Amino acid sequence: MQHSSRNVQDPQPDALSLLMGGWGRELIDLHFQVLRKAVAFSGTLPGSGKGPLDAWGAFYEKEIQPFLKAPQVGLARYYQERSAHLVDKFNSWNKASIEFLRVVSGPLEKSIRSLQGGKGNGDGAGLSTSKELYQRWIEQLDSLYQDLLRSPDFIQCLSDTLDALEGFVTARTEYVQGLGKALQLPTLRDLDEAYRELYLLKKEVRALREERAEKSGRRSNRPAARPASRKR
Amino acid sequence: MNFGESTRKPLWSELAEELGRLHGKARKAREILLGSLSTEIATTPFEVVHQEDRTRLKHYLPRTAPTLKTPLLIVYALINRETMLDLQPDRSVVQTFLNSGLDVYMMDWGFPTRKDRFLTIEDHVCGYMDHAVDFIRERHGTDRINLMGICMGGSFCVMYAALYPEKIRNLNTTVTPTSFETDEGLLHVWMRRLDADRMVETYGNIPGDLMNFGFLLLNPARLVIDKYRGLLESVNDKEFVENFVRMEKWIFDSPDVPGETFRQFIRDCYRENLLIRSRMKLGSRRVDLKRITMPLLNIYARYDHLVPPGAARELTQAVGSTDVEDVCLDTGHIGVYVSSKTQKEFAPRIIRWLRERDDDGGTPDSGPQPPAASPASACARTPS
Repeated sequence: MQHSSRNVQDPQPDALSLLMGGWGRELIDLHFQVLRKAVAFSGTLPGSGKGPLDAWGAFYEKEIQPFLKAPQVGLARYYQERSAHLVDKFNSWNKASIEFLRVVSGPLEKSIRSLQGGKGNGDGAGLSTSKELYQRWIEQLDSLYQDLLRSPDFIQCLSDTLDALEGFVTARTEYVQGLGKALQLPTLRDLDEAYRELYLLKKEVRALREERAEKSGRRSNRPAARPASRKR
Repeated sequence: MNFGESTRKPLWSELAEELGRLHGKARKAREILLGSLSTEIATTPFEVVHQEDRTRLKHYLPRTAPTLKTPLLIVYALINRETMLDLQPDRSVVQTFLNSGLDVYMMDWGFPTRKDRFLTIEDHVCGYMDHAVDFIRERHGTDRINLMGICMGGSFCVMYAALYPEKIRNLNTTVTPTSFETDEGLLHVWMRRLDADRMVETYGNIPGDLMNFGFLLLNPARLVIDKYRGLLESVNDKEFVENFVRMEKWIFDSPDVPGETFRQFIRDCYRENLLIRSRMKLGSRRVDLKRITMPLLNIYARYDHLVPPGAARELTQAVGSTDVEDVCLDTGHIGVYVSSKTQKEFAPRIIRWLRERDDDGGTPDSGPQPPAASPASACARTPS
């Protein structure tokens, strides 16, 4: 009697082949997806400087960021969330700072290209001593920077960079404070609350002191002088 | 030989010669940089006569008998340090004042920590400054003092003079921004777009390093490239190197700025331009510039990229005083104090102006009366 491996009542051989088939198909599909995306990404590499950065940004937002923003489960979920948030903000800050550097280095490239272009014209009057050459270059660079730094695009880029930096700094602080909590270290928020209370108390004390001084007919609204206790 | 051709050497030949010169320079530079350099700043002796929290009131030890009756309090900005007024012996505004017989006090704002993040402009002006002014008045037995403000410190002095005009005899503002509705300066353009609230929530106090970066970004070609090229050019000149290092010490010595002060300054001044319109409020008190009725000398710099002329010159038209004078110097923001050219113009002009308005006459007093119970006010010369 032939034992049929394809008997649906006997799950083991079929499950195995199904699993293998399923997994294999998924694996192959995944490979093709990654290849397609890599080709799409690498296609932007030559050409304008902004292309790869934008492509990376799009790739990151579509393919990587969803994993970082996926909800976490389990006892350590808050720590996991903060770690993922920190990684996400770090990547955003990286991208923003690279873009910022690209924008800021623009005038450097332009001025050097322009200087080379001027020399290459074969115009003898354009040639000069190295000092004059430097002077011409720095003046041109200065002028290019003054135009760039006032432009709406640069101001937006600066604003985005600062936002990304602040996002990263906040995420980093929250992450580190989360770790510090295990050691019962006070957080910045705890300290700020204490400082705010101290500040308000001091104001109240000064106001009361002034009121008392005015009532007693003496104007003395400054604290007693005390010697310098520290030198820098 | 063709006489029509240029006899100029080719560029590569010039570069080769330049490299040869550089080699000699490098050797000399190594001797200078690895040798002993005199780069101390703020060397004029002073004593700390009053301290409150992080702030100190410095009194510079007189060099001659006082020739002016009224003492002078100088208030610097919260950004960078007041040591710039005493950067080096031959370019020290403080020493020029002392040599002319002025009795000079200076506010040292110190180094804010996280604890100071909730301090507002009101705390600085109506708190620390007012206490310092009262201290000086009591010490000299005088009702009024002279007040001099620099940059943001000048803005504080304007606010103070409007709130306490009875305590100020003469007001001098230098490179002081009071009108912010101008696009002359890049800083004004940027500050209007800045999210100050988010910055304060993120950092607490605004880091000095971040502000330094911003200031460098205002003019990267000159401040990041050309400046250091100038150093390389003159690195074999010991005096140049010493002066350069002193300036570097000062320029990157940036305390953090208390968060709430920063927030209010950006919002009320850069964004809404309330100060020049007499609509700015410190606490419950409105800063009304018409209450500034004492003489005002307003000095600004033509090539100032931080406080352009348009941001400084409107003040004299906004105050209530009739004795007002604008002076525009042909220099930049820092050049007003450290340029060798303006040294002969800037401080002597202020001294002359103050002397003409120093009381109703009578001999100057012999200086501050020693305090009855003298706390141990250390004679603190703090070289940096």
